[in-house]
Amino acid sequence: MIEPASLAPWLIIIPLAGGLLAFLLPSRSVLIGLSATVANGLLALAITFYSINTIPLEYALGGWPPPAGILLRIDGLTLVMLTMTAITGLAISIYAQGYFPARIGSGNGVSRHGPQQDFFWPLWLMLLAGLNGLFLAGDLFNLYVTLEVTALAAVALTALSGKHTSEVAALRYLLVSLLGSLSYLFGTVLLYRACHVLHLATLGALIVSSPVVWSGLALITVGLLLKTALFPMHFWLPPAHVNALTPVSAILSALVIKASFYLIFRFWGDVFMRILPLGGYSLLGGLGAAAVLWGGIQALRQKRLKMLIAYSTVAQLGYLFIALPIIRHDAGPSSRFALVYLIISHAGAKAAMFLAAGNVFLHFGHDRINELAGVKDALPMTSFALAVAGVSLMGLPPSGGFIGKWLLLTASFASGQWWWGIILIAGSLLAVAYIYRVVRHLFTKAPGPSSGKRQVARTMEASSLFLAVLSLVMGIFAPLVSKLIASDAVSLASLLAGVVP
Amino acid sequence: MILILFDFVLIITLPLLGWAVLATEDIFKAVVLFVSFGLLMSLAWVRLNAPDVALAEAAIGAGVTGALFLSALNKLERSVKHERRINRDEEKEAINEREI
Amino acid sequence: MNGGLTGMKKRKQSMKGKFKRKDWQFATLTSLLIATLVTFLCWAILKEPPGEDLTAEALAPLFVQSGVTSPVTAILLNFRGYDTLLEVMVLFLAGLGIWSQATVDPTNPLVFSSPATHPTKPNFHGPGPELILATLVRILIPLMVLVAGYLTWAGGFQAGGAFQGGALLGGAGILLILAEPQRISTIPPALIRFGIVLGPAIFLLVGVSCFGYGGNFLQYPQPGAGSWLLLIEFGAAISIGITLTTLFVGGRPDPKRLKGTDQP
Repeated sequence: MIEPASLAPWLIIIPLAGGLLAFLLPSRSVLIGLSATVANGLLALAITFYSINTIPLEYALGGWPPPAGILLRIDGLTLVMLTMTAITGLAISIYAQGYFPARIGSGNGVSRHGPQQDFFWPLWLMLLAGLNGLFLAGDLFNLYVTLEVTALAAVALTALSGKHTSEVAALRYLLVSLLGSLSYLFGTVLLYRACHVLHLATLGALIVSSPVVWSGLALITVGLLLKTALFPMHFWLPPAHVNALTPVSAILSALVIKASFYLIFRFWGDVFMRILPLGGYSLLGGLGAAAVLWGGIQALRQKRLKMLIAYSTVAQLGYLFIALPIIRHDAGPSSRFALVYLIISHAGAKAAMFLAAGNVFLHFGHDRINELAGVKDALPMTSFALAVAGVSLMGLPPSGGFIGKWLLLTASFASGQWWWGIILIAGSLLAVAYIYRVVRHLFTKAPGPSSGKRQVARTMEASSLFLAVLSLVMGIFAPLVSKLIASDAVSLASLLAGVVP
Repeated sequence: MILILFDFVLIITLPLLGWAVLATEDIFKAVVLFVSFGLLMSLAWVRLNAPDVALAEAAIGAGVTGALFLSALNKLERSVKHERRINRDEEKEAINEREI
Repeated sequence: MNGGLTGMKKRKQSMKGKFKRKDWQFATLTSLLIATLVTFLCWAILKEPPGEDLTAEALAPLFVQSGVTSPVTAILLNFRGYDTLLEVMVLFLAGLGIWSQATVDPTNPLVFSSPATHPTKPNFHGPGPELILATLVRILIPLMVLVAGYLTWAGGFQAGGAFQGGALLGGAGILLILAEPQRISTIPPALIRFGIVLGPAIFLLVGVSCFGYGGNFLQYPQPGAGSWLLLIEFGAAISIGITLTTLFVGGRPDPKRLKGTDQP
């Protein structure tokens, strides 16, 4: 019988080794990148399968028990995030494998896109290692290091396209990210001074309110908010996500943003929930509401498809933050389940939209929304993917987005906080509006013949379609996800009671 | 007693140096001040009983980073001098390549 | 980096920034904010004494098993070795990021030694900066390498370790490049790649081989833990030195141009 916890470090070792190898042997980087991503996917599924009945699990790195050593911690939320990263990452990798040859084959970018491909794979694998390490981490300082790995890899990927706009956006992303990391580190130092442990579970049980602890938690939260682009700190997100190469945009919007939000959820919904003030939750929810409205309105105003999708990300992140006060006031696990569903369905839908937008751009040479007529005939799979992903973003049944929003809606009305429900409905209406803007053009005929436009490879269209359909039928995973989240609730109860595990 | 005085001087000088780095108009001067900030920071680490960090700060923060900044500054000045030539090249590139 | 450089073309010609009134307002506001924050933090920290140090109590009996006598190195490489592994990977990422951005012209590797201002064949025998630098380099580099090696080894029982030794090696590399920039083109790029990857790879391999000894990831076999740590430290120091040097050069070797370096 395989010990599932012992498989956990391999989730980090394999992408790291792959990154090093892909850098050492650039001619083989595609092969190494793909096999590492496939291996990562298989591992994540294996760990989920083997540990579903025995979570939470812990793995002591170096064999040292806490507080001496670092612990990896596997619980339901971790498994969901790991699997989401693995599957979405695999689909994006398959897309990327076709994307770079398509750019090289387009004729005018040979000298640039060759090295881009050589460097995309090691950077993506390092990012994957950072993400896996982040989701598995059970130690406060270890989280800082994985945040650094993730942020640095994401910045390098953002700047990979070499355009001036990407360079500026990547530099801005780097500075904002570094500020966030520094704030997080400072908060960690303060918390360590207060409690002298770094192990998250012990910290959560031992921590007591005091000015030092408040400052530490505030600094940590502000740092993570900077990285998660919550309104009004979202200014860096649209340029960074839009100007990057298409697979990089998908990775950033679907996975990297979720990593820092996962940490906020971990701290505010799990470890430190006992001592965090209710007003803080409402503040986060309020900022989330502003993000929903602001992002939706901005998305309506965009002329380019990729900018619309980027502002849609800002809005969807707002939903995630609105869920926090609802979770705080909800007795059962249903709103936590809703939040997790929103996270994973947004990951799938957003990645699908970015990949589809990339296909559209490759075919047409531009992505101006008003001139997208004829997409349906030229790229049928891609337009279907766009429409289906839009369904999930709007929150129509049976998509994962619907499940998440519906549960949040009912929970907000049930707990008497009806204002969050109003914002959810308003946001969904805005989403319908801006998605309709895009989908409307899918059904108009092209004005002229579409000869001379590039064809897009099947695998690239298929991967985008796969992700979109996955986020649509996310409902079939409901029993699995709810079992994982419910088992979290048991360990959470003991944590809230102040019992040291 | 003398150590407290030393600490006091460090505490006063470090923020002042940091302010000076940000407030000088000449970037070269700012880089030089940054290097000296790094050296004083290294002394601060020693006073905090972290000799390892002090060694690393002196070598990397003051040494390598200073060299990196000066090298980048040189490249920047070169590129600004060739501004017109690069301008024309970039326009040509932008017309040829439509990028997302 | 080239894109960022061309972005600078939008700025004014002079490298002197001009501070406007709103810059000063912003600066004062930020300083006031930071000053308030710092004062509040000082008050909060001084108000309550630190609690009992659970970690120190738990760690005290374990230091003998760590294989080194310096507590810093023990924590860095043994107890919390996973963090150090990721930090070494961060440095590798930095090198990777810089290489993904730009190539370096091997005939003109440092840009500031352009053919117009510097002869392609530096004059090491007549008076001038090249002679001074060459002599200095001849004396200093072997010393620096020696001290770097000592620092790395000494990390086991006093201040030192891989990062410190590696930083010194990086400084030595930078000095070498400043002295003879033309040499960069003669180093095979594969060797540089191997050097950058060496440290992280050794660390990862040692961690994985611990599985073979029946332990967890990075659980060094007990009696010989010190030698494993030394192996990791030396590999990491070499890699850190090479990575820092390539950071200074600021780009990857250009495969196409390398073939034509012999031509004037």
